[in-house]
Parts: sequence; structure tokens; C-alpha cells
Amino acid sequence: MAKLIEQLKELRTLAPRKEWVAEQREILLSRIAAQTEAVQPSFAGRAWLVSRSWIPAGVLRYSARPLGLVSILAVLVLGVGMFGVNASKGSLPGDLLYPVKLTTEKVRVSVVASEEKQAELYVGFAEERVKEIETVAQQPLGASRKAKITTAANGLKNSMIKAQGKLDAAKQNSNKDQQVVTSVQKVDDKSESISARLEQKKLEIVASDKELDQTLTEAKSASDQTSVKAIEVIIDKHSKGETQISDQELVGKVEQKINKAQAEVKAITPVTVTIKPASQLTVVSAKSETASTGDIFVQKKPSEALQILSEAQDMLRQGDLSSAIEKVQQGSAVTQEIKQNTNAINTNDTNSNNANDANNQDTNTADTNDTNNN
Amino acid sequence: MKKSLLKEKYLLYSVRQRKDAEAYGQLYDAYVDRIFRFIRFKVARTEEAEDLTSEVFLKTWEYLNSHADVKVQNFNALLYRVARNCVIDHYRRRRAEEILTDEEQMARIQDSRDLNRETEVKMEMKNLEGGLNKLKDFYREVLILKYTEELSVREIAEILDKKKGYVRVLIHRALKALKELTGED
Repeated sequence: MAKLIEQLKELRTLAPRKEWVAEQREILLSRIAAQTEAVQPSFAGRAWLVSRSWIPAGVLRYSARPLGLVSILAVLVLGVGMFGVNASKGSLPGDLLYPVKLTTEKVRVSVVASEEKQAELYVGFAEERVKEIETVAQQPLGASRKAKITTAANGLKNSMIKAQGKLDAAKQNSNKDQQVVTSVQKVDDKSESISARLEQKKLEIVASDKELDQTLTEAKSASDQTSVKAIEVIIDKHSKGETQISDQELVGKVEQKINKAQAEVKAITPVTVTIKPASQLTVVSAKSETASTGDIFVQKKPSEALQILSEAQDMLRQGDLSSAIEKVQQGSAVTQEIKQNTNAINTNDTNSNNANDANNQDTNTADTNDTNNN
Repeated sequence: MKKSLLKEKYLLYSVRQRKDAEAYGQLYDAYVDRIFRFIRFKVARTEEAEDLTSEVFLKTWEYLNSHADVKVQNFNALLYRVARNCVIDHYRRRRAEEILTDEEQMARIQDSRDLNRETEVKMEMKNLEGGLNKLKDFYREVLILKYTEELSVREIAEILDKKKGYVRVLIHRALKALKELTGED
């Protein structure tokens, strides 16, 4: 596989003819110029454009943020008062001050400069969502409880996705400060903890409300992905000599991720699909685009995911940590696909059973009526 | 923010606010090679790839200036999306079929020789190119984006308008399929 990848990279040498590039540039620009007249900005606009191109990005960011912060804070304080902002801290989804709580979180992110610190914040918000889920789960069953848990779980998922984006940015960043890795390690630890808490809470919640299974599974999956992404960043920094973490410790972390991913796959309950005669076919809409459209949906076996994770272990043994963690991400993606498909099949079965029960009930009613008539 | 990213944002701003052709020319310089390469692996001939690449940049200009209210977060992703759509439209116009005519087969072979020359190919690369040609389009596409153009999973997901998880699965299956076709390990 490594050889194939290297060969694919070599294809990068393919380039268009230089004379064609130059020729087309001329044609393109003349066509554009013919289509439009350039719009001249005002003097102030030009001055801003010119100065903006020379002012370092950092200066722009640091000067804009406090101004933005002051205006947002002014709105918040005028709107709800300082007590309102503090009171919102304990609010739950559905409460009056919950939007204030979420807005305050956004403001907190906006004043933080570094991507890794922002990632830490987002994971902190995700942790807050878990607390909300745990609190709401103790409320009586009902539509309100379900809606609140859904809101919190989706909020958690979104925070984790943003954290992953910030981790990507931190990886691209050339900052060699050890503080970067320290922050990313905190992100990993916290994401792991959130994932474990979610798993435990999910079992309790889904026992009484199966419809929340998919939502909570996605939230947990987002936490797991963030944790793996954090390791990916640490591996990258390690390869550039920007961390003090030892090889052994890093290998241990990757191995832990592989083991966890394998356990996830093995925990999936296999679903058996009976192939029915054509007249009785029920087409399940395939959520995965790799399935054949319009055909019978067949549950994928976990063997593919396990095979990928086995390859991850091989790469780990060879010392190729970045390929190993990439394989973990691929294996987790397949596992997630299987879980979604399983959920779809189970939902479809539940709906079919409900429909059949309704039909049987109608039949029984009809039979009873016939008997009564006779 | 990296220097090149800041410059790109400034150029985009000039294009959209001032309809600055020269600024767009600089964006063209930065992206023409990769867009050509992306399209080249999707069509049979170099000439087709050249025509479509030109079309991509013209259409992107038109899009930027007719959708002033739409924020462009990632110009790279926008270009690739326009490129994909152009290739799809191209085949629809040609009513392309999977089985090529003899003439098209010859053109493909001839162009594959050009491709080999362009990439200073060795025997393994001929094998790779043969495998790529036989791959399903969406497998080939994702491998080119990931390994040849070295885009991240997130960027590829944005271009294909799919979830990251789906892209990861696709990459794995595409590599596996290519491995089977080329017999490489």
C-alpha cells in the first residue's frame, strides 16, 4: 500500500504545458475585462484595502477581537444584566437563559488567540453538554426530556466537530511551543472522559427511549474522533521534534486507540436480514452511498473494520504512527457506518412490526365484525 | 493565519468587490496546475482537460461575481467543486458511455502514452495508470485528491459535499480496489 501511495504522489509531476497556461491566462483575463468594468472603491475603501494588506494578520485579529467582544458584551449586559449572564451558567436546554449560556461560550472562544486553546475550550463546552444530558436524564420521561437531550447531544457533537477543526489548524500551525502539545493532550484526555461518560449515560437513556440511540451514538462518535484527531496532531508534532513526549508513550497512546476501536466493533450486535421473495420486498433507503441504490439493504459485517484495525496494528509495529492513526480513523468511520445501518434496519423492523400489528388488529376487527354480522 | 492564506483572501476580496481581473489572474496562477491535473485524470485527452480547465476558471469568476452574498470560506474547495461539475456536464453533453468506440480507445492509448511521457513514467507507473483507468471514477477521484493533491480529509469532504467519515471509508476502499487492479502490495 505504501508503494502505491508513493506512486500516487509521484503523479503530482503532471502539469499543463507552460505555453498553454500563459496563453489561457491572457484569454481569461481579456474575457473577464470585456465582461465587466472594474469597480473603483472610495478613497477610504482603497486606503483600507492597501493598509490591510500590509498590516500583519495578528495585529488585525487582536485589535478587532476586543472591539467585537466589547460590543457583544454590551448587548448581553444591556439585555440580561451581569446577573443574567452568571445565572445562565446552570441553565439547561429549554430554559430561558440557555441561549445566553451558549452566546457566552461563543464570546469566550473569540477572545482566545491560539487554535489549540480554542480546541480546549470547545471540548470544555462539550463537557458542559454532557453534564446537561446527565441532569436532564433524571427528569421524567416525555417529549420535553427527549427534546432537551437531543439539543444537548447535538450541541456536544457540534462542539467536538469545531474542536477537530481547531486541532487541524493547530497541526498546520508552525508554532513549536510545547504548550501546543500540552493543550492537545488535554483535549485527548477530556474527549476520552466525555466519551466514557456518554457511553454510560447512553445505556441508561436508551433503555427507556430507543429513539435517542442514534443521536447519542453520533455524539459519542464525535468525541472519539476528536480524541483520535488529538493523537494525530501529537504524532505530527512529534515527527517534527516539537514535543517532549517519548516514543514509547506515543506508541502506547496509539495502541490504546486501536484497542478501543476494536472493542467498539466487537460490541456491535450483528443483524440478520432475511432475503424475502420479490413480492414481499421492502426497500430500505440506503443512507450509505456505497450501497446499491434501490436494492435490498444488506448489513455490512464488521470484518472490514476489523481488517483495517489489524492493518493499523501492523503499521504500529513497523513504527509508522501516522499511517496507523489514519487506519484507526478509517476503521472508526466504517464502524460508524455499520452502526448507522444497524439503526436504520432496526428502525425499519420496528416500523414494519408496528404496521403488521396494526394490520393484524384491523384483520381481527374485521373478523369480529363478520362474526357479529353472522 | 498563514501569509499565503491572507494573500488569497485579499485577492478574493479584490475580485468580488472590485472585479479585479489581475487579482483573479494571480489566483489562476496559484491553482491552474492542480485543477488541470484533477481534470486530466477524469477525461480521456489532454485537450479536453485543457478546455475544461479554462471553463472552470471562467465559471468560477462568474459564480463569484453573481453570488456576492455567498461567503467563500475555501476557494480551493470551490474550484474543485466547479471542476467536478464541469466534467459531469461535459460527459452529459457527450452522452459518454462506459464502452469507448475504437477511435476513442486509440485516443486514450495515445494520450496514455502522453501521460506517461509527462510523468517520466517507469514500468510501475504504467501499471498504476492502467489501474487508475479501470477504477471507478469516485475511487480514482478521492485517491487523486488525497495522495496526489495532498488534500486533507476535511477538504475532500467539503469538495465532495460528504461527511468526513464517508471520505475515510472511500479512501480505504479505493486503495484496496487499486491494489487489486495493479497487483501491488
